[in-house]
Amino acid sequence: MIRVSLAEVAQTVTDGGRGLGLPPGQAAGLGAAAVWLCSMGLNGCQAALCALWQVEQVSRLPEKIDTARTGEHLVFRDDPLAYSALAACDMAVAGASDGPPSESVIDGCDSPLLVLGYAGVAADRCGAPMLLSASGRPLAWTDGSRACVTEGIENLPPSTNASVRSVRETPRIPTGIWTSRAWDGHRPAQMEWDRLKDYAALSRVKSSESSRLTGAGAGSDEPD
Amino acid sequence: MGTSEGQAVTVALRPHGLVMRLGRMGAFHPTRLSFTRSLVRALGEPGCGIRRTLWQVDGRGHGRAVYEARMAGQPFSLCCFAHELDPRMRTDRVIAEAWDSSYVLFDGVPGPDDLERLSANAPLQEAGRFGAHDLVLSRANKSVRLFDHVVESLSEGKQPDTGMVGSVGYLMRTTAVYGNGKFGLSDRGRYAARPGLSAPFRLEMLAVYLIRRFTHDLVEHIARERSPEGACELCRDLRRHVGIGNATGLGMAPFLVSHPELINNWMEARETALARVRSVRRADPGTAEGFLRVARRAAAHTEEWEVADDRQSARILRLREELSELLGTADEEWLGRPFPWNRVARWSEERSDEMQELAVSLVLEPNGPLVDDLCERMSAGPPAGLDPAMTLGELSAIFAERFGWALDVDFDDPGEQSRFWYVSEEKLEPRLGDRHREPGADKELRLDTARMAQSLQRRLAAHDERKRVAEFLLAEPGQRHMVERVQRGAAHPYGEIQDNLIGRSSLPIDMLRCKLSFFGASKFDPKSDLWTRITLFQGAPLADELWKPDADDWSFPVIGARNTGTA
Repeated sequence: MIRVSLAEVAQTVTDGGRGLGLPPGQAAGLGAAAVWLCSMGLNGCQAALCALWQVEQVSRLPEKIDTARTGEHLVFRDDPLAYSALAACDMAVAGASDGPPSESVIDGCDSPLLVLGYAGVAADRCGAPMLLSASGRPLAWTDGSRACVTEGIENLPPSTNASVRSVRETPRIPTGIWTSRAWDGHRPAQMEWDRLKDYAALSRVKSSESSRLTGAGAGSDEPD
Repeated sequence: MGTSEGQAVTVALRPHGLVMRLGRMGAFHPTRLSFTRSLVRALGEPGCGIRRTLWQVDGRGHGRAVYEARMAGQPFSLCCFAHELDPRMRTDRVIAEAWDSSYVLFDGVPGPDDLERLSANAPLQEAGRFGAHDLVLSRANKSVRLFDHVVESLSEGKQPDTGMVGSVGYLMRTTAVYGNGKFGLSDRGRYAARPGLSAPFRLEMLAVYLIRRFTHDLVEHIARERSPEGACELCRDLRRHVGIGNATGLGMAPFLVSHPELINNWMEARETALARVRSVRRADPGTAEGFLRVARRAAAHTEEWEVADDRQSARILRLREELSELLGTADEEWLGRPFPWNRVARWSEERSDEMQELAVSLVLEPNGPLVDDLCERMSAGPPAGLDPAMTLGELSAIFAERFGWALDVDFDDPGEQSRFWYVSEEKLEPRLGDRHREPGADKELRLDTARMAQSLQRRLAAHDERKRVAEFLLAEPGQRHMVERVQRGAAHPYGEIQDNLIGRSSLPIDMLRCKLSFFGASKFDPKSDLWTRITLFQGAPLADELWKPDADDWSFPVIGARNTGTA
């Protein structure tokens, strides 16, 4: 396993998103979610790969995000997680700010772990603790700087119905393991990291003789 | 009128619409708030010290050395590796693959295994891998002309030619100084909360200061090896005047755009310092004398500032005339009137941007006790992030206050979007392309803030202002980046460069100079619109002078002048 810094995770995942055509806000959001997970000792690279793979599969990225309201639940469907999970956390935070906590549900979520990453970033930046559940069962709670996470969250089957909501109390998570942020880097599997780098490479422009001549420092061979 | 924490202020901060223009930012000079200056002050505090702990260098100057710096009770070690370099491979560009020397600043004291690991990886630079205890990575090339001349002179028992030392100013120049997680280095978050390390680029500047010491030791060592009996040491005045060169290109430019909070804090500290000083009713005689001494030194420094670039040469010529005019005007009587520093600032408003911004540096210089605390405000934590509960009405109000400038750009004019910023696959070098002639615009870096702002404004107009941002982004997910940027602007008035960065007339060199001035760089020597050479730590006290009372008095160094007073 290779050790990478969190800055490398952020840059590589964000560039991967850009390379696949994600708008800059969604690309940066995915990078931040991956870093948050890695800083908590969770596999943010694997979660980011899942999101990037989804983006790669769609023929056209959405121009808007479709939702349906079911009772207190706002249900997100079909869109890549890089769109829907980010928007679900936005709506959960916005809903909590001016009324009773509302719940955003991502129907058929391929990576509840990634949703936790977005929820962690939202909790950290907005000061709103978040609870992640799957089919009504609490999976994780976070206030941004620490988290209580159900063992095995990284290995949940795809197409889980994941929901996220802002909470005021600290709920009890059965078999939950507490973790807090650390800055010692992350150790992704080599294959995962290589795949992320492949995606990131899509954001770079092929070099040519003319671009070399207009690059920073062109002509800088002048002796002094 | 305004107030500022800790100090009654009667003069308001200069408006962001005036300060955050590229033309003005490209006229900044280093100030006493610059990071090299605050580092030197920190190194002079009790308990700090620098010593050489390893020296394994052969007669040709190849080998390894370690310097240990103790700062805020913590040891940091610069591991230096000097190599043979084929002269044909010596280039300042990021795309270079070999250098005269390479460096790693290590967190603590490296053991033999650490040194072996670093000696294998540091020379590879971007192709190497580094660990959580490796803080900063750098490399430097010789100024062949000066390096060889100094070695030759010292080996003959003579001091080098003062004019040549003055015109070059450094024995080596760094071509990159990497930190914050690059290539596996420690993330800044791992150490930023430690005492003494919160200042921006504190460890990067420490590494450069120690590299300077290594270059001084290296020339003396080679000279001594060449002539054990006849060689002499570099005299203290020249040693102090020899800084570290740096070649800087476009890589710095995206940083200014992608860190609006940080840039705001740098600018706000500088503007707050200026406002505090301008609000001083009476200058005591010592401060007035200090101002005149620094102004005279700045005039002499400017006389030494020679560049080949026509545009900058013309600016320097005008600056010399204006400085001369200032020195003819600002006598003790003039400075003895009420609000002397405000008078200097007002006087400069009728002069060039270079003079106006030099005046900022000059009036801050003798007023350290009034402004130095602002160095503590120049760092920034993680960005606040999107506020999804904000209404579009609130967002539009911030937009109008902070981004109105962006609406003045006419993007129907093809020239206003003729360029695009991108990252080349070749060593990830940032480049600037011609949108109408080169491929790659589909992968452009989003430095087109003005264009994105106009797009957001058009979309906002189509939605009810009572709608919340979270709902707006369901309908307009592509606007997320700009929405977040506008929100961040609310508390950060100096966070945006208020110019179109993809227009034909935009000059990236202005961004570079702004950032480098905050580093403390002097002798800006633009080589094109895209890159510049500068000098860091020229005139800075040597390691055994850091504790002296006047060790902080090294702005606008002049060769031969004992401007630090520490000789």
